[in-house]
Amino acid sequence: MTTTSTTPARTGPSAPAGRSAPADRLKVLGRVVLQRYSLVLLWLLMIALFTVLLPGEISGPEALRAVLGQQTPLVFLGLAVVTTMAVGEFDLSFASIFGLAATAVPSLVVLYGWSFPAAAAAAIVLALVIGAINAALVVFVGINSVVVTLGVGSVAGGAAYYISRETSVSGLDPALSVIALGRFLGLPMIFWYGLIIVAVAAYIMSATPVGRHMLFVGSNREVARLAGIPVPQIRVGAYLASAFLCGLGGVVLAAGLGGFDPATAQTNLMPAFAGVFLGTVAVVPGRFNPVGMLIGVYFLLTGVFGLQLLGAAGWVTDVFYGLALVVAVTISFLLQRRVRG
Amino acid sequence: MHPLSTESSASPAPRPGLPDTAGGPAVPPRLEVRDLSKTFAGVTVLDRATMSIEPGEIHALVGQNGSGKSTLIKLISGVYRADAGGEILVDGEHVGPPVHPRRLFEQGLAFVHQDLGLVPDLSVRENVRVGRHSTRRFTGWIDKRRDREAVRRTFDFLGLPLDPDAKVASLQPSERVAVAVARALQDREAGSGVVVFDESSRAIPRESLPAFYDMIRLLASQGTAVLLVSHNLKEVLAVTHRVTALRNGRVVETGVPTADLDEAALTRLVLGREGQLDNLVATLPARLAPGTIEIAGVAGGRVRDFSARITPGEVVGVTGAIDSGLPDLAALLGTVRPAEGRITVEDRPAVDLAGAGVPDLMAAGVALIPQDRAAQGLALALTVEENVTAPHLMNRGHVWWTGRRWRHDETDYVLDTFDVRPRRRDAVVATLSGGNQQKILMGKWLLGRPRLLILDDPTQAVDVGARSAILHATRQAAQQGTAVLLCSSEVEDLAAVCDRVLVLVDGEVARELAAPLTPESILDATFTPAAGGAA
Repeated sequence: MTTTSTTPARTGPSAPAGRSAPADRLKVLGRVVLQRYSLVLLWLLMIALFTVLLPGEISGPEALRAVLGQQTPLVFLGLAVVTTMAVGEFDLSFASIFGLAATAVPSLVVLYGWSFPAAAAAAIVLALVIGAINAALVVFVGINSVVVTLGVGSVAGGAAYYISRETSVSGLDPALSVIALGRFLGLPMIFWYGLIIVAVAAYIMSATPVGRHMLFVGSNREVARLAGIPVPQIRVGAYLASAFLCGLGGVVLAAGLGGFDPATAQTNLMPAFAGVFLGTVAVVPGRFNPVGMLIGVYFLLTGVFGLQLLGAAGWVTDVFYGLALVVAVTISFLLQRRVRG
Repeated sequence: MHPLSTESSASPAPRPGLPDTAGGPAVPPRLEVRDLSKTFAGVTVLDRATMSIEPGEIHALVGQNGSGKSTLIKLISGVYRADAGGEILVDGEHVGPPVHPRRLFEQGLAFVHQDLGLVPDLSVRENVRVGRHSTRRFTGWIDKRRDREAVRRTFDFLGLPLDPDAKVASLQPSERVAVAVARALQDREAGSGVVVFDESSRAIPRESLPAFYDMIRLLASQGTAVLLVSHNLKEVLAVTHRVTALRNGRVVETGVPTADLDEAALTRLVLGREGQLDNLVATLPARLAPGTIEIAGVAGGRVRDFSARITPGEVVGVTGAIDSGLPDLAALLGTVRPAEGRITVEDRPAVDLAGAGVPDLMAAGVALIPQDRAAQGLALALTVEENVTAPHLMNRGHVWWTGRRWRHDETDYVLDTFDVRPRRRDAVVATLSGGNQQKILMGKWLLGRPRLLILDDPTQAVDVGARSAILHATRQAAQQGTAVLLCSSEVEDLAAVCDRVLVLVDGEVARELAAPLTPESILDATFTPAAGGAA
């Protein structure tokens, strides 16, 4: 009974009829590209638009290099958000955790005389501790994650000011900036770090059991639990991974800048969220995914860069990020609704 | 006493045949649907559906899962917007499409949905009156006294003495249905309008069904038209006057008098072929294997002490009345809910339910197919392949690589074995019909080759075709050496696949029935102690 049933119907209706196959395949390919990579196409379109609007000032490749070469923690932070959102958790504290780590490194070195490696390690441990507090309150005590991370984020933000004695700290050894700014193929290391962590995360999330487990925990916790998936471990892991990424981002950025101003940490909140949600319309539409996030983040950075070149005032940046977030979420929602019918 | 008894009580609704519409001036139908179609993303799920219901008629809408039944109801209730070209008429007047959900009430259309749509934490009064609260003239505050009166009047009409201030959460399932019905019927002029019951009898315990049917007959006898969407063919034959059958998005027959049909004919209408639920115990006889699975001292909820010994290769049914603990049992055994007790699978270490989690059960070879598909069984937003393989990733894959080949092969195996439509690994589960979802859920757990398979009411609200596929799979799992515990109140399912049936009374196994089993014998054993009762 069962042996026969494995073989029939293999050549179901999905197999296209012989002759029209190449054309069909091309059509399918076209649809897939449109569905998954329309954000990339839009990005290229935007670059083209800026080069037309700014004749002679900057060439396409130059603009691209300028955008990719920015010193920004957004890829680290976006990945942190992807990690928590993918398992259905909300984390509003990531920017503060990043700020705390980035402030701790120069503060410990300059104000307290620690060595850089010790300060970097301490910053990451600090980030992990905050992540653990988030996890404990949300997962084990069962408090609403928005409330917990909002509060914990505020605490972490305050702690950053305390450590830095309420100033912007600088004075790290300029030689350390090689960590973030050393060039490889014309682009700074911070860009390559981002690429590497995104690649690792993308692999984990798409090709390993842990990634699948994250997907189920994010989709339906009870179904995941009844499938034998260790739900609390996955949720705690996501908070810790997120905090680790924020800490890492903080260390790298502080090294690159030679210091850090804790007041700037929160400016990353909005673009990171916007990038993550933009990412849900790309690569794996409807899901939080690292590669989509990477595309989303650079899409946003390109837009802001172009607007600045065009001489737009500072407030345009906020409007642009906000619009991108809302538009991304709307498109994502409409995609989902079309799938569900 | 028989749950689907045809004997009518006080209400004089003419059972067989059409209501008297012959002769006299032509009265327009209460509800008429002409050429309604619905297309999703290029796929036509409902193709020019047409039917009409006369005043005082109880009309059944039948069809397999995915036949377009739910879509038709959602078009009439305004959840979906129909494609251009169709028309919906109430008493000869055009009401759509598009139907405006807010205006349904004025237009005389009322719906009792599958999930009832009640808020458990609110009172009966609040649930019934939501959206139609009486308000005080000056302050605009809700006038609770007038609401309470209105609710009481509706319950009087339904003949149910329910307290308007009781919390819905505290009610029995049958009473909750009454609340949903009351919401649909309140403020209605007797004898007008159309009431649609979308699989409502699902939520009603068997003991209360006769009362529910009487209420439907009462409504119809006053002139209201009733549309009953149902999978239960016996119910259709017993209660309704005429039938409309959908198959693959088309109306295959409409307005067929049920008096001209028997169950076989109705099944043919639904399936397009004979769908006899054959005795699977005879066609797939038990092949008992050595070993014993022992369940001991399980307690929790209404279950006080459940113990059983099952041999691999055997299908053991558990049944009981709604208050026997049956609805809790599977959830307790699968640690969905906190429980006491032990499960010992052959020579593996015993699992203590009090401290165990799902991984412990899985390690022992115990798999539960839960009743609530959407909340516990499947992640609806994910694909078939992701759902089917989820519990097996750690066993079959590596930590660093889930593997692709086995996932595809095993998913294909499930799709083929259960004849899932569409046969696509990457289909999002939410887009599949209920029956196909249930097949995916069965496949997901059978892939792990469990030693003990616990099924919780697996054929609830699935069509005849899916039901047969699920029962076949159950029996086949047993033949391959799995011990199966089937918790169900469907006596025909139990009779068709079980080697033995345990009857729960007051949370304990009160009696054990051995083959040959018949639906009647199981039913008798279930209800014998509680003589008198609901009818």
